[in-house]
Amino acid sequence: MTGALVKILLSAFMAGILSIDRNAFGQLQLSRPMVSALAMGLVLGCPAEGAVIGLIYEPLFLSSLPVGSFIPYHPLFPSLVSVLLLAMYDGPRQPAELVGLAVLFGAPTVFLDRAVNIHWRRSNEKAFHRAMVYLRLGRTDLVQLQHILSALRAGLYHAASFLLVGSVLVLAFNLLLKSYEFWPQRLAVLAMLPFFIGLAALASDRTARKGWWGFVLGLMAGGCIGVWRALS
Amino acid sequence: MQGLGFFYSLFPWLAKVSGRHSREAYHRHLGYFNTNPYMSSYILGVVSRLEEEGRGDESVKARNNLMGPLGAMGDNYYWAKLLPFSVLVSLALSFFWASAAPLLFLFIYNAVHLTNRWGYLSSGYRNAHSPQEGAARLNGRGLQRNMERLTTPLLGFVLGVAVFGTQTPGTSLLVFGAAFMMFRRQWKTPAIFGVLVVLAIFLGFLGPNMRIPWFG
Repeated sequence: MTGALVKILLSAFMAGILSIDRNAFGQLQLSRPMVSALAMGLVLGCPAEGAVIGLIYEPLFLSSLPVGSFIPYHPLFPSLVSVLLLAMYDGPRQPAELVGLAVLFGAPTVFLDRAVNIHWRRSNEKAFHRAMVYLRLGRTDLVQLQHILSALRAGLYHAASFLLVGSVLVLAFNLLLKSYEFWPQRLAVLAMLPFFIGLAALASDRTARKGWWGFVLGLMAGGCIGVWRALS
Repeated sequence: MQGLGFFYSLFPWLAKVSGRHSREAYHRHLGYFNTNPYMSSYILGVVSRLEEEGRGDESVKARNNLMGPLGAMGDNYYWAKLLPFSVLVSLALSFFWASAAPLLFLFIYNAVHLTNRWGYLSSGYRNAHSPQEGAARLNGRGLQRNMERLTTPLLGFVLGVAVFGTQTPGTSLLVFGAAFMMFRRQWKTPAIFGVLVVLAIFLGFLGPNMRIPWFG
């Protein structure tokens, strides 16, 4: 019980740290699923599952760009939740069998991720107005502090919401698996959905006007290597 | 709204170069600021130089004039070209060496933008008297063109390997094709996801058991 609690708290902490990179400091892309899910897997003791979940989610929403004031969906929460679910599963099944169900549970958290992001941006605006007041009062130290607090607030909001939703989903995931043992195999096709949807979005963008030839040539080369790998 | 971050970055320099006029300088630069985060280094360079020379009003004008064009330029460079390119290169590698893919992604992406950010800062400082002309030379057109050319074949390659990696190429192509058609009809991603979840569960009950390519 204590171990489970520690894992959930650690994962919420990770969600907070990674959201700071995405929103407020650095933008080093540590929050991309490929990196964040692997990091989460390393922390929770399941690096292989973390790496796979990250690769599955990576192309999702890749073509949705944060241009101007538009806030796109970001697959940070879905990938972290899916890794958490696999790490917290306590039963006889292999992780590979459960990825489809973990994706089904994790994917809807993308809405929460975006809602928290919007909420944080509003709070950042308030911090900006507070900073203006402090500057008028000549308190430049407090103006700078507003920036640091705003960055920390991004982490706090994401960590708190992840903690809440992660805990509920872990419970629901384990309860469902105990009740309906036949589900995981039936949901195997779901496992690769984020991957194919992300690639389809990119392909739709890239081949809209030109680029068909490059895409087809790449597909043929990839197909040959795929067949060779499957046969060997 | 990146006004706080811009002020935070500029503050030590303003404190150093503005002397007893620093209070006015602070007021000038705590304001609305919104551009591509990677391109903001150029504006920081321009503003730093102009403030150093005591041309505060010009620095505000330059900041306001550069935000929009650099935002558009940076969004196109980093979000529309560099990010998909570095992700697809890493995904292509992942089929052969899964654990190295995140490292390669971080290396490609960060090597480009960190190098550029430093270059933008010094370029902004050098071109502070003609900032628009300096900004026009920033776009790294050759690199962008090459990334653009390689992204689409890489996308096809990743799809080709993945489709056969699942050991159910027909189902995989069906899922990809359905999503592709829906994107072409301007459907939103969450709606497509919802429809395909139903399709996937239906296919699952019919029997296809898709394998995940990265699990040995």
